[in-house]
Amino acid sequence: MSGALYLGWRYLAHHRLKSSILVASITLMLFLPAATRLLVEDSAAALTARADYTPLILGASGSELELVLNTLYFHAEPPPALRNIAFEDARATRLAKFIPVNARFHAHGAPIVGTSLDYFDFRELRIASGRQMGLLGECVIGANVAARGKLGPGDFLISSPETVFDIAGVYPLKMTIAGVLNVTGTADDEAIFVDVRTSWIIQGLGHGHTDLAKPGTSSSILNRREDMITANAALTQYAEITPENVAEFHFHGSSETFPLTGVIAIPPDQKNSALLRGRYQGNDAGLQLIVPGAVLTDLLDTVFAVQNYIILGLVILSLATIAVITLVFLLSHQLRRGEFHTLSRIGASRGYVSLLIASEVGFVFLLSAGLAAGLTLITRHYAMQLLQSFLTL
Amino acid sequence: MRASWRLPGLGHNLFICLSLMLTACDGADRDQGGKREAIPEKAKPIIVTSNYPLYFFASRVVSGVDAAPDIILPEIEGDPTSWIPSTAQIQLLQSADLIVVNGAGAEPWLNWISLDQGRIVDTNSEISGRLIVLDETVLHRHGPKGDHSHHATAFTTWLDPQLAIDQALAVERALAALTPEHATKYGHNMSVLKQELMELDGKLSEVFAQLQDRPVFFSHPVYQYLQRRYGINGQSVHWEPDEEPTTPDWIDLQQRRASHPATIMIWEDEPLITTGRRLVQAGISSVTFRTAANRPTQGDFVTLMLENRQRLQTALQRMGALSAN
Repeated sequence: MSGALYLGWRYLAHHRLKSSILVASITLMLFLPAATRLLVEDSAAALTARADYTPLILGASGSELELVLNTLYFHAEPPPALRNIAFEDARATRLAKFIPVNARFHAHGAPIVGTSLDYFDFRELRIASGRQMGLLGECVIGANVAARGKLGPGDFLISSPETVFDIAGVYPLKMTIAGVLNVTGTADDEAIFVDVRTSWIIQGLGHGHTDLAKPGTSSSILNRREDMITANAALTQYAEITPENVAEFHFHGSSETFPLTGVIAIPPDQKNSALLRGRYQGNDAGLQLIVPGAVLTDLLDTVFAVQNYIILGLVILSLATIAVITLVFLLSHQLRRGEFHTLSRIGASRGYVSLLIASEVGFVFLLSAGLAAGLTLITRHYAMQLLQSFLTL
Repeated sequence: MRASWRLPGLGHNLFICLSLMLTACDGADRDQGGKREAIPEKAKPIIVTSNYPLYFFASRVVSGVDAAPDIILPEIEGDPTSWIPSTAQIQLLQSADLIVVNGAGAEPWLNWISLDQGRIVDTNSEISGRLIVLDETVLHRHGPKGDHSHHATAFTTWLDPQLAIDQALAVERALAALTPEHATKYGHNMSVLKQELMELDGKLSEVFAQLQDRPVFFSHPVYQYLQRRYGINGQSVHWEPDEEPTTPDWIDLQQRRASHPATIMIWEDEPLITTGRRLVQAGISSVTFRTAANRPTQGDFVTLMLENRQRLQTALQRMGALSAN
């Protein structure tokens, strides 16, 4: 028996090109449906887990999907802005813990997420090095942002303007990294977290400059009345918040009108959740309160439907591949009739020859299965890292 | 709830979705089940107060209670309203179970520091209608049509003992909510404190009543609540006790005296000897009335206020004797 196996293996090794093509075809045939199914199912479970872990999201009326993607994954396309007064009003209901999220800016290619300290408790984010953000202008960064940029506590990040054409608008803000978060394997690893007020400063709603009421600022003053000083364009604004100048930072206008992209609501129980959802049902103030799990379940239904079509296509393709492979083996058998005849003349039984052929087929399938399994594991590992960057762009 | 999202481009959405799913994949173990790591409990809750009166009220409310929360007033140099917390102090604030603040704009640092808003107790939030809006605030805006900053409010609310009682009650409520097992004892302590503050109010009323409608200068615009509570006919200048007033300051004072012939100036702290002498020459007696915003070197809030009262009483008696002679 070992002789037949040896001869089978030597045959495959001798006909390398033919064997490689066969192995590659069968590997792909096994790998594609398996990897598709595995990735979709595993990641769907993980996706819904993050969504289910987030009980409710309050946002401005519009696309529910955009709201969920932005709030959970800080996806680049921000949903319509929600006014801060909506967050304050929601908080005043005391029906839940509310966490503001303002994710519309970027630095170093990573999303800047303006939020409150509650977010870190809610997502169980721990500081791996450094400390929690304290002063405005400080940030804590996700593990992948730190690793990619070789950044750590004490380093700086500079916010990118919202658009390249925003010449007259927002000055980039130099942010000090206060700490780096632990690896979590979630979108939080790819984000830069700041206080929500820092995100408003990045947006240009707040800024710092010399106190205009102090002497020596006349060159920056357009008009001075007894109770009102109007600054001109020569007034230089600070590009960095430090303990020395933080007292000069302030906001213009009412904070009630300042924007958020979403608000995470965490009711303590089902009763409060129901009361809260009832409060925003049919809301005519341009607000919506959504259950992210339900939104993603709808999305995943579509994905699974598409996945089934893809797998069906792959199965049909696999059947065609099997037919071709069978044909290859049959033709090969025909071509090797002389070889088999020689084997029988030197004493090999029919069973021995059959074992030889079976061993060749077996080796090809065994190699292919091993390669397909390896490729699936590699895909799971690297595809996530690669696609994670697409997600936050 | 039925989601009603639309698919503007199936390919794009599918890509996003697959990306999302892949991204989410290795976070599954962490998020599933909603299990939370147990946060180790501190031995005692920590209460950080933002100025001395609040520290005094909170300390009195928890006085004599076993395993009561630790009441902390951070080391603040000078005026607590100008405090910029250090990194270590920010970490203390972030670790506190409650941050008891005065409100009314007394803590501008709240605007610069990341804190859990749910742990901040604004002792003036219930009495915001009784706060004094300042007329003298200089606003600014950027460009002719820019939004402008807002008016400020006077913040030394505790100088009105009635408001101080309300603030102490807010502290007591917050403490009782945090450690309900001690609520009864807190209530008892609060009654004693309230009685003490009411007595203080009576004593201050008596001494300020002696002023009648006599004009008074305040060296700094921090006495608005005292002025309102006791009907003091006062005007504020902007002098620092440890700085020599400038010539324009003296001229301004002289001009003011034409319409406001004050014979007393109430100071936050002992003025410079030279300033005091020159005021005496101008017929103005200096009386120190400490606001007690920061921790006193000796005594407590009530004794400090009684010392303020005593100094005013002495000054009035001296002036009365002088006028009798």
